[in-house]
Amino acid sequence: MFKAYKYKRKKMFFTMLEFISLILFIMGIGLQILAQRSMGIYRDLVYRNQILAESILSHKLLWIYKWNSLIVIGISIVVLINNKKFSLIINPYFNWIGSLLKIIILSSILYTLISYYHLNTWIAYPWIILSVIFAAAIQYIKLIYGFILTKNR
Amino acid sequence: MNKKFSVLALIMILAVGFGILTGCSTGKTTDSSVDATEKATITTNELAERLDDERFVIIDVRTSAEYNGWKLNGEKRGGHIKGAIDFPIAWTLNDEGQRRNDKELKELLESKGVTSDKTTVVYDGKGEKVQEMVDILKKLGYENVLSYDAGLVEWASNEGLPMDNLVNYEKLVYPQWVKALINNENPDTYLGKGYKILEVSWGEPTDYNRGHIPGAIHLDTNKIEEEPLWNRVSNEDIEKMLLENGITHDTTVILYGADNTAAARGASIMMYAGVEDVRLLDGGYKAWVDGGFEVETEAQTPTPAKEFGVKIPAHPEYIIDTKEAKEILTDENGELVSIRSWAEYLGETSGYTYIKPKGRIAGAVWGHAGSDPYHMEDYRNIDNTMRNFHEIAKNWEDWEITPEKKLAFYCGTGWRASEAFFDAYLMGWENIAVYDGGWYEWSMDENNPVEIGEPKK
Repeated sequence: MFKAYKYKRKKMFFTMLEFISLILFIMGIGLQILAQRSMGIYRDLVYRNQILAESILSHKLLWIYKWNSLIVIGISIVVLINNKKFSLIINPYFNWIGSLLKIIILSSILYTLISYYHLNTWIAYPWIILSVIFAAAIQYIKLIYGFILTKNR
Repeated sequence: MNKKFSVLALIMILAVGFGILTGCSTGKTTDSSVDATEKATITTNELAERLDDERFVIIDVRTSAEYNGWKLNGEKRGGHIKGAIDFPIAWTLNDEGQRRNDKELKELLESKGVTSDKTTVVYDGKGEKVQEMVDILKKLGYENVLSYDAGLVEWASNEGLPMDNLVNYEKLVYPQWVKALINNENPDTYLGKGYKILEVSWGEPTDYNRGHIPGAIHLDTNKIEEEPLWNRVSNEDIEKMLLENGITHDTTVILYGADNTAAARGASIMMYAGVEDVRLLDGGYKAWVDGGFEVETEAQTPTPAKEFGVKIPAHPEYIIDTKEAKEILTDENGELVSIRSWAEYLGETSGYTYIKPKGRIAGAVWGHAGSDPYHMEDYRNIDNTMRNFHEIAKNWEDWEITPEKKLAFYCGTGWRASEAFFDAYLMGWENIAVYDGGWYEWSMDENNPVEIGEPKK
């Protein structure tokens, strides 16, 4: 019971993080709208995008995110196909299938966004990608935590 | 008999006494109403003798356009009486068309040096608006007010009387001039080689779509400057933009905007390219609307031109880059003029979220600007028209910014600098330029010398 309670508390925490990632995604869209109306915001984003391009959204890292997404999609699909085997061993409080589905969706979105990165005309595009990376990362962490619970059951 | 004589004498005394009393009251009133004040005037000769008298201040209540040099009353010479201060009668009204309150009016007058301890002389073209201003001054407590009823028309007719004007006043047009141009009335100084009116603003044509001068084309500043430093685009792209908008080297181009710094940015680049007749609408779109002229909302598509006519840039001296800016710093007769707010000049702020370094180019002098990167109060009147050029020149002179020097104006990315540049151009200054890279480009190289704090000299 105690572990169930602990898991439920963590579930609330992850739900909150998922909510934040949704807000971040919406803010990314909002930033694009604002940038089209304000020269100051537009130019500020140009400057910040340059910093991103030299750091967490460098060409090399984008390549890693892209192929990582593809690999994760592949693994997730395999796990889903063999879901009965995994259901026997995974913590029943943990909706791992839901998490996997979210990971597949988010990784697909990330793969697509990065594939079209150099063709995009949206100034807030890098920030939308960051929000999707954040959302995907939350799901990865959630999945790993779910398996840790399973291990400690 | 004696009784009749006494009555007759009494009646005569009373009649004479009544006549004396009524005669003394003629021309004076105890009524505090301004309409009843006695009018004091000054003749042309008297005014001419007092031009250098510091106890006198002369107010020109005509429009800014007339003050600058446009001849709208058939006067022989354009401009203003030498030493006169501009105070268009329209400035006494607020945006709603109502008379400003006394406190506002007094502050405005005093900001222009019109103080009640001096004798104020008021004039306009032919005397029509003088009394209105006299009444306002009297109501504010200005006791010594004189009307120069003969007006500028008479003054200008005598070549021996000193006048002053903005040297290139015709490049700063006013709404009625643009209206006459649109109506094919061939206004004064129009060269007759075709014209284009451009509304200049950044990004989407939001303001343009809400309403623009009939026939005007929208120019997005992203077509004339590019990231990452927001310097001018390549000469090929400038030419492409000009031809797309149907502009050749001899087209008369009138630029305006909701914010005229954008228009000035367009003006400096077009002048650099080689457009010979570039003009700004003084006061921008607001001046057009306040003039009561109609606007349209339909977007205009220009007919492209085939050839510009001269090699771009025809005037490369008008816009310089970092290499030339460094040369000016070492030139004894050169000045880099910072057109940024005082806080930016001191290095208290960079002024922009996307420019991190604070400070100024070492050796640059301060050319005034405004309260922040998006305002230019030191260059504007309350109605957003160009500030009195004498006042601008005085601000510059205080920092040894004079026309004999080689001057390059700079700001963050070139907009404010372009406005100062255009004002210097209007004043007939010749050795002037815009340093395109500005503080943004200069501050990106850590090896470039920078200063912070109050200047030493």
